[in-house]
Amino acid sequence: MKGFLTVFSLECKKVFSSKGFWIFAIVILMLCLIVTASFKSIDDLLEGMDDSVVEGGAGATAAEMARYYELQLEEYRKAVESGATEQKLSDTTETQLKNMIAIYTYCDEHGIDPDKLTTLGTNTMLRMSSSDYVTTMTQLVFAFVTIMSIVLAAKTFAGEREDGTMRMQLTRPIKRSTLLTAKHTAVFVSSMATGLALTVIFMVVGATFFDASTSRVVLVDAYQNVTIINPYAAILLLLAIYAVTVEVVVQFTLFVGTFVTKTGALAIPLVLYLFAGSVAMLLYNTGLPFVGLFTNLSWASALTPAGAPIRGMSIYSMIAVTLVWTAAMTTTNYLMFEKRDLK
Amino acid sequence: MQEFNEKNGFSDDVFEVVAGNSGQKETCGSVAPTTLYLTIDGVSKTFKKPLAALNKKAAGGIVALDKVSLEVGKGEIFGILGPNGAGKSTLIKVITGLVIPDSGTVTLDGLDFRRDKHEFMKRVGAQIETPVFFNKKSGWWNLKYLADLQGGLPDQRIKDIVELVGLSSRIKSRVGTYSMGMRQRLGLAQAIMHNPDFLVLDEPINGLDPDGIAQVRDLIRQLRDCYGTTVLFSSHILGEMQTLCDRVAFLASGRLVAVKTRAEIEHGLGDVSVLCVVCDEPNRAAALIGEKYGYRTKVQGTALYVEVKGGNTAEINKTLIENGISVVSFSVKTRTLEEMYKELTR
Repeated sequence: MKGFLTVFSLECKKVFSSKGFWIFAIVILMLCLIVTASFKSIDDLLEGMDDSVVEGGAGATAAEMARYYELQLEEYRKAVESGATEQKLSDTTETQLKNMIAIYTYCDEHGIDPDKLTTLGTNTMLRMSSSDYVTTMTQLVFAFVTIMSIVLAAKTFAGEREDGTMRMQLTRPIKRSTLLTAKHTAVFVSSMATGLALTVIFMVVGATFFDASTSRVVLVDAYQNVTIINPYAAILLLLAIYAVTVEVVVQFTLFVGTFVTKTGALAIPLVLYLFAGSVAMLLYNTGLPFVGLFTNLSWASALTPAGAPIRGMSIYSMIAVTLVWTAAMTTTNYLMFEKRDLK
Repeated sequence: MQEFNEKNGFSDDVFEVVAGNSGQKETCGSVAPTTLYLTIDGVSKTFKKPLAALNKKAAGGIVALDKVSLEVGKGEIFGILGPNGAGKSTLIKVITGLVIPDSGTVTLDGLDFRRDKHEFMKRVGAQIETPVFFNKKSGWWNLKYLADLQGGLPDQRIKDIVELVGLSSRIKSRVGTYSMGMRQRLGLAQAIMHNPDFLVLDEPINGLDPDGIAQVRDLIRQLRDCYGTTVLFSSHILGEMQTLCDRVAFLASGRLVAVKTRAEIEHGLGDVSVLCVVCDEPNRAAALIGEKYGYRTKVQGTALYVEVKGGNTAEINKTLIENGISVVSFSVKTRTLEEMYKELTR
């Protein structure tokens, strides 16, 4: 444990004392501030407009909206039965329609104005509340933080092995497994700390420049159970989702770094991270069952009204898939690092 | 080996004895160390492609070490000599745990590497190949970092070590700006700063100026004399091996071919020399020497070659003259260390 803490603190010190880290963090901050400026200008523009224009389909009640989506669903089912539309295994149309019905029925029953609700990861042309702003910025920040964690993991593992500095560390009385876990934890913690610090900055920015009257966030699970949560709970939920994402990405980078050089360890996870989403969307439309397993790793999709990536799969299946993935990666990384020559 | 044979007119079998290359048993040194400290027993290593490495029994790959067995005594300065690719660095990496051997064991002071790695590595200070540091950080930062990994050292101790290796003036500069020699000094500093019992140095004097070489030599001697540190080091510089090491192991294509003591090296020939006698009756002389001393001989024209063990060449001359053989010329051929190195590591 003492060895672990020593290596962990030294690794964190190494990250936070490097110029590259601070340059990257400041670039993320600047980019996000530019985005903030554009949000603010759109928000100011909307402020002077008529409410009915801003809110789009204003006027219809929640019950009417629920009825509208029920009719749409009926039509869709008829089309599937007649063979005009082919139903896929990972069927988004049906799930989305069911989710909309669930949300509007819930609003009708509880007397909630549906326009005051937002969903995670969707931006409407409604005026932005401070909590909308923070959830949006958190997602933007973590998109960059995940890239940063790939860079750090590739540098601290494949990089140090390749340039020879790891040799010096390995000839100290420290177990290889301790070195691996401590480096892994340090990359995870320093990335998450950066993400959290930036989120706190944007919470302050949001409270200062945007409408502080909070809107609420609606979550629909795979069985169309509707939950309405506090926007700050939504931020915490997002942080938890990104913690899982960063962890999976770091593990994958370490895994790749065991086999290839520094450049490969950086490029392969980065390309997959940046383009896997688009590739997954293409595969997703094929409706093949294995794609469901892959998209199950994208937790955020489970918490938006898009619903579970595959019919009948719930958030529990996603937890299971993630745990299996994590266990497999950790074991492989450990074995590869422990049993290999590190020249 | 063969070169030496041809030069002196001996057949191969005779030269096996000359070079002391008559099998593994003799390779463990003619002088056994007083107290055993490091024992390397039958270490073999074959480098394979990543996937083939999963199957230990798969054929192919590059044999880096082939059943190498060595014993190093407590407080001994032990050298490893061999051409490029002989397996010197691999052997050192096996000792420091960077390379995992296919078979064989490494024991230090009764501690098996595989079982007691932590205790084992606590006693070891190592500098492997050209030392690599974090180039963007200062020499001081690097030393402090490595000291912390070791469990922490007082600043004063690090300062003293830096002074000892002669880096005080540049220790706060970035390692990226250091010359090769300065990196070697920093490498040495990180290896000795925690006062290890066992020092492993891989080519420690590469890139050093003559002053630096002398300093390193003095430092190694000082460590051994004052603290009883056992030192294992590899080098290409033959003269250095000769002056510094108590014993030298010769490695060639992954095999240990000989272990020589300093005395043997200083005499060039070890305890075996080749005598070349030109006389009128070489065949009779050969029979006479064979009968009286039991030495192996070979006649070529008027020249007689005798493989002499020990230094009694004068006595042989006397015997020949007493038996009425007129000796035209009498010469003792000794080998330089370079010749010995070339022959052994061929």
